Amino acid sequence: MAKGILRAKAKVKGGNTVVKIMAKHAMETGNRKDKSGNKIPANFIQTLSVAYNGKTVMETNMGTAISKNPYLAFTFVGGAKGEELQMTWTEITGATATETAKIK
Amino acid sequence: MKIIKSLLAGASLALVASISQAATSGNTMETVDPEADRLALQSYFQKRFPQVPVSDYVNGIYALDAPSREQWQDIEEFAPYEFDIEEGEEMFNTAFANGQSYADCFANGGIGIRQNFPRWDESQGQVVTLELAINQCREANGEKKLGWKKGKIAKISAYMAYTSRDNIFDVKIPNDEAKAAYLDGKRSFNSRRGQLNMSCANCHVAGANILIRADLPGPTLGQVTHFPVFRSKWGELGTLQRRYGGCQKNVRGVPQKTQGEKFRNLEFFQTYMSNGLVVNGPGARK
Amino acid sequence: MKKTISLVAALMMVSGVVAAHPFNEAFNEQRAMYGKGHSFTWDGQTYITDHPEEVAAAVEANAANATMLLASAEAKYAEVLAVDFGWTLTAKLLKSATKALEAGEFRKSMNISAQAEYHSRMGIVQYHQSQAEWIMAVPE
Repeated sequence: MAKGILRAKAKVKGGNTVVKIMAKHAMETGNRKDKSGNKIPANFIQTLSVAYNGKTVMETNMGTAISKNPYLAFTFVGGAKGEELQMTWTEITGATATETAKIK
Repeated sequence: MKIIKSLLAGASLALVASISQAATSGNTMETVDPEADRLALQSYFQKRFPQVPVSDYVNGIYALDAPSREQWQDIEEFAPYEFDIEEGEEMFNTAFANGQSYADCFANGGIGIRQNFPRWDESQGQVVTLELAINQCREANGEKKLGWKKGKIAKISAYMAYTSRDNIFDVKIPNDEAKAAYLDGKRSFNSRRGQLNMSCANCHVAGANILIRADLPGPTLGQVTHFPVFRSKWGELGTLQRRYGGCQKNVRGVPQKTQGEKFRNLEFFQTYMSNGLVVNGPGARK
Repeated sequence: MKKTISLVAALMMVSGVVAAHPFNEAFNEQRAMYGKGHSFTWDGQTYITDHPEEVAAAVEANAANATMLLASAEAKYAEVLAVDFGWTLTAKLLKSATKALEAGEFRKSMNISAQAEYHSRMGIVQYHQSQAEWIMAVPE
């Protein structure tokens, strides 16, 4: 399976699951200029949502304020060891993908 | 401008009188004893911080300062250099145009060898750091050199450090010429420079864990084991000699040449001082 | 005046003077307290809290002197760079001095040149100290 852009670690702690995700993404705002003075086109993750058992447990709207290789951590109630999380990201270019991570 | 002028007046270059710390093994070829220096450094820090085992010093200031240790451990949970290791691995395994690869230039295919660098190269008659070896490998195979301080070379170095984690540093001084290089590094480390007239030792021996503005300098024991480093200030990975230049600029001195003789000898000295400690690169620091 | 100047210069160059109160220390203290151009006594002699470069710049402010002082400062900077002990601010000072000279602000240019040359001279002192008397910072 090809490596996606998300690296996730999910662990059960008590009755909750703690999730940490790092996305490999340049998060170009569209305002930076290259060496010739031309604007580097915008390309950043717009939304990232995480679902467990078909239900969304976390949803973020990112944007130009989030810098390169965004890192987020959150906790949700429930979750069990060995189960999977579905993580879906969407770029402003329209590109989108869903990646999975196992809960440990 | 006003502040700088008064600094000029205050910076006293009067020597010798103040520091009464006993000399170590010495500052000449006849009297220098690297092993004695190394053990003296360890005992110095053990006296200052009796609760901290020597092996912990690979974590730098985080071995000495609890609050920053907590923050750092949080960061390490999902280390910012993880992508760099992956990219480094890919680059390391990609062959050159002529079909050879990095593995052909290094012992053991370049895996698990970080602890032997910098090394005294007899045929070249100079200290060879890991980054120098990487670029020498490239040039020997018809490739262009990489920039010394960041980017690709840092990622390759990070991957090679990563494969060597937990190996014990074992920098060797095989002959008198190597010892002269060590002595030169020791001199550099202890020489005051720049408008602020400070030496490496000022901040990283006597000044370790003592606030300078809003920062705590790390101890020089174990200081180089975690390089290359993802420095939050840089927002990216950088090599040890990138930091050397930065530090010299911090004391308002024109930085010496990256991977020039002075810096390589300094790295030789510093790494020898950390012999016996483990490789824990790449690392994350503030 | 000349005798005083050369004495100041000589004493400032000497490092590691093991006196109860070395000249350098006394000079720096006096200058920190009273600024430039202040008389003080040390070891029975009278001195002035001016660096040799400032004394050299205390001549008539004109194009010839300003040009000469700038050239001298730039030469000193090249000297200190050659031994790898340059200070980062010096290059900016030299640029400032050049601009001031071009704008006809001779006094300003000469003062900045003096400061730049002082930087470079201090760097060279650091170099010599590094060669001869570097401090063992690793105690027993």
